[in-house]
Amino acid sequence: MNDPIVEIRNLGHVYMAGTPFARKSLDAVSLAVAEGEFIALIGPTGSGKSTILQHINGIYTPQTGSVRVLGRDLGEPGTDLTLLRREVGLVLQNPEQQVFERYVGDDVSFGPRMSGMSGKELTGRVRWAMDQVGLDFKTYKDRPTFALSGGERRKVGLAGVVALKPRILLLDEPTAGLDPAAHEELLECLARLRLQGTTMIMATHSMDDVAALAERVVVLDKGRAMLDGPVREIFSRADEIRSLGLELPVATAVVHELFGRGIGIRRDVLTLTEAEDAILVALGVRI
Amino acid sequence: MPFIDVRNLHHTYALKNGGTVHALKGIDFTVEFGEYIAVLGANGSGKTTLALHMNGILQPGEGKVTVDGWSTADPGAVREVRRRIGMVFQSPDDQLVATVVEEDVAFGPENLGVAEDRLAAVVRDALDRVGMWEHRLRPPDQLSAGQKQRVAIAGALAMNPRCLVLDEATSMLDPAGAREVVGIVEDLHDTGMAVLTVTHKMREAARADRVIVLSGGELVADGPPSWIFEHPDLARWNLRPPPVTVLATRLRPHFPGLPAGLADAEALASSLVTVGQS
Repeated sequence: MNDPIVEIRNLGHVYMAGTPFARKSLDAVSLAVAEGEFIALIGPTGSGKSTILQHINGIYTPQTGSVRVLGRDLGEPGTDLTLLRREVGLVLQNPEQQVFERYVGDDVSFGPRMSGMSGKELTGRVRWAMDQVGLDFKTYKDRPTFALSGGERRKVGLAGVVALKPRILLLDEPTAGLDPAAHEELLECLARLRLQGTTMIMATHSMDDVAALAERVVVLDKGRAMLDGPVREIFSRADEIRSLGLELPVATAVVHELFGRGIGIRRDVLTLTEAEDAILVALGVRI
Repeated sequence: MPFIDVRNLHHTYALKNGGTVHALKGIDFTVEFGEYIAVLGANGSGKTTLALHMNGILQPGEGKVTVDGWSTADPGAVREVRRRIGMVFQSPDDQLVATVVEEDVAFGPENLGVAEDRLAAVVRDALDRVGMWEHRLRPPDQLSAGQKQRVAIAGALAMNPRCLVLDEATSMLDPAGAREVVGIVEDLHDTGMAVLTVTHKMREAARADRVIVLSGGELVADGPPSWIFEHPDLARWNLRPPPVTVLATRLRPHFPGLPAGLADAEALASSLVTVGQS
């Protein structure tokens, strides 16, 4: 890989190290991310997904091993984390909790304002960020944040991070708990951001989101990176995925269930359309 | 007489700015003893408001809710209503009050005045039914989210209810935790417990006998999941069919025998094998 934008080497992390409650959270994790990649981190709760994201954003400094992001060594004491975080946006598990201003426009503009932007440039940036997440500027900029639905609040939280035009976007469970329509809209929004060339690293339990968005998957278990590869290849290893207590994308699960019932069928499918084709071929409807 | 009878139920919230939100607009439905019902609806459709009416946390603005003949609007009946309806909410952290699991489960029956000599047996039975007896002496904050939610269910069971009302009880759990909770709820239903579960997850709704859909505070559909999932108005209610149902719908022109409303991969695969061979 040429010049990874994120390079993690042998990263180890122990929560509450040195106390009786010490718990190993990451164990010699290595991961290199190229600019523009969309990577999904999957694994059971407690497998280390969020801890990795928080290292890339500089919330944690490496206890053992190293983390380099955009050419900066985050283990170096002098690293300017404020500058880093303008380029590395972290969207927390419940980004609606990152919404704190009274009006939507003020909330989205907070980051750019703090980085010194003002006037027309600021307005333009806020409009652009709201556009990216699918919030109409005119309709929403003066809305009180308390009056938003759950899905709208989440978009506002995301717009506030996007407004800084980060080169890397870290997403922790971006769709958890959303209703079906809001879920669909958020996926479209992430796909849009991805097309702009933003590097995305997303921790999630939703395998359908992974199949829809990511090109590469890292499977974590008990703080170790167990599998790392293209989405299609990783999900075709159904037995390994399931033995870790993880699910498969729905389309993949259907063809594996058919295979398990003695139907000869291709199993490297990710989308419903691919599953449809595979089934029609396997059951002799189509050649 | 149905177990729960909801008649022309209206609910209006007052806002701080003087405005109002008409959250429920004349809801009618009944729940029979032992039924398993899922309540679907987009955010803001009134699902949670409806759930809070089931055990009298909210009072009808208009209309009536009766549980086993007791009106939730009758202050003298609150105890009878709450004894029959156990509630489990979205966030496990907000429902566990005690510092040790078994004390938490004992909280409800103690308040109901269950005699001390019977209390231990009640708590043990409730914890056994959710598979948490071995964790009885642990502080709730050391449990996983799924385990906490199981303790919350045990707390409800300790009141010996006839019906469990779950409000998005799995939405904050990981898939493994959610499976555990759904499994326990199904076991309880198998032993005769009525279940009313409010959810965004179509796959969980698929397991119910009956689905009620709320949209804009109105009850817009009431029927078996298979019918709801292929309903032409689903998108208008801001809902989406489960992906497996979408796939089954696309395959049906080639396999007309595929049943309606298939919602999980296993069910679709086994139907395809049957239909494909005939």
